[in-house]
Amino acid sequence: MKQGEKLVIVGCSGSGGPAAMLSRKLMPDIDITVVRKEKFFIVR
Amino acid sequence: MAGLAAGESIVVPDKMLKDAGINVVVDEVTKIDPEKKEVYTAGGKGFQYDKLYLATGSRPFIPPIEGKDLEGVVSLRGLGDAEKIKTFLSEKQPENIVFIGAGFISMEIASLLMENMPGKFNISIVELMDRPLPLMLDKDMADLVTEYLTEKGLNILTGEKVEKILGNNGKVSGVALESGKKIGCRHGICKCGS
Repeated sequence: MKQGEKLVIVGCSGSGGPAAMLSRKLMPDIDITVVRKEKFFIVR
Repeated sequence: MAGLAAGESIVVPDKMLKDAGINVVVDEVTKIDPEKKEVYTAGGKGFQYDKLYLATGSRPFIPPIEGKDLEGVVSLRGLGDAEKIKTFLSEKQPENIVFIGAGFISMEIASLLMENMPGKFNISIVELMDRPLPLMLDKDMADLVTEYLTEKGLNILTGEKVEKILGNNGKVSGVALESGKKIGCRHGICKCGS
C-alpha cells in the first residue's frame, strides 16, 4: 500500500491485532484503523 | 483453563496498538459497502478504506452428532469458552467427562484436569482413529502417550465412533458408541469440536 492509503481491519480474532502491528511495521506511512466490538483483543 | 493466567494478561493491549499510531475503534461493524469502499458501524460511524482485512475469527466445528445441542456439551476455542467450562465444572461438579476426539486440545485439557484435580473426574477420550493425536503422532509414538496417560488414569478409547450423545431432560447423560458401548456422563460434560 502507498503512503496515505487507508487500511481498515475488522475484528479482533487472533490475527487482527498482529495484522495491524505487522502492517504498521511494513508500511509505516499508511493509515490503519481497527474496528472491533469486543472490549479486548483476545489472543488464543 | 489451568488458572495460571488472568484473562486480561493474554490480550493484546490497546496501548500497544495506539502507541504504534493505529486507530482503535470499539464498535460493531454492521455494513460494508464495497463499491464506496466504506465500513459502517452500529454507532453511526463510517470508515473509508483502500484495503479491508476481515479478522472476525472462527467458531469450533462440532461434528453433526445427534445430541450435540444438549446442555453439558461444550467446545473450546477462546477465553470465553474456557471461562464457561471452568464455571460449569465448579457449579455442576460433574463426575464424568467425555472428550470426543483425541486431538491436541482434548488431550491437553484432559491431562490438565487430571493433574490439577486428581481423582475428581472419570475422564474418557473417544477417538475414531487407532491412536490419540492422530494428526501429530504415528502409532508407535502414540502408543507411548496412551500408555503414559492410561497409567495416570485417563480412559482412552481408540477406533471407536461416537454414534450419539445421550441426554436426559435436555442435559447430557452419556455417549453411545457405534460398537454398542455406552459411557455414562450423568451431570457430566462432553467436549467436542475444536
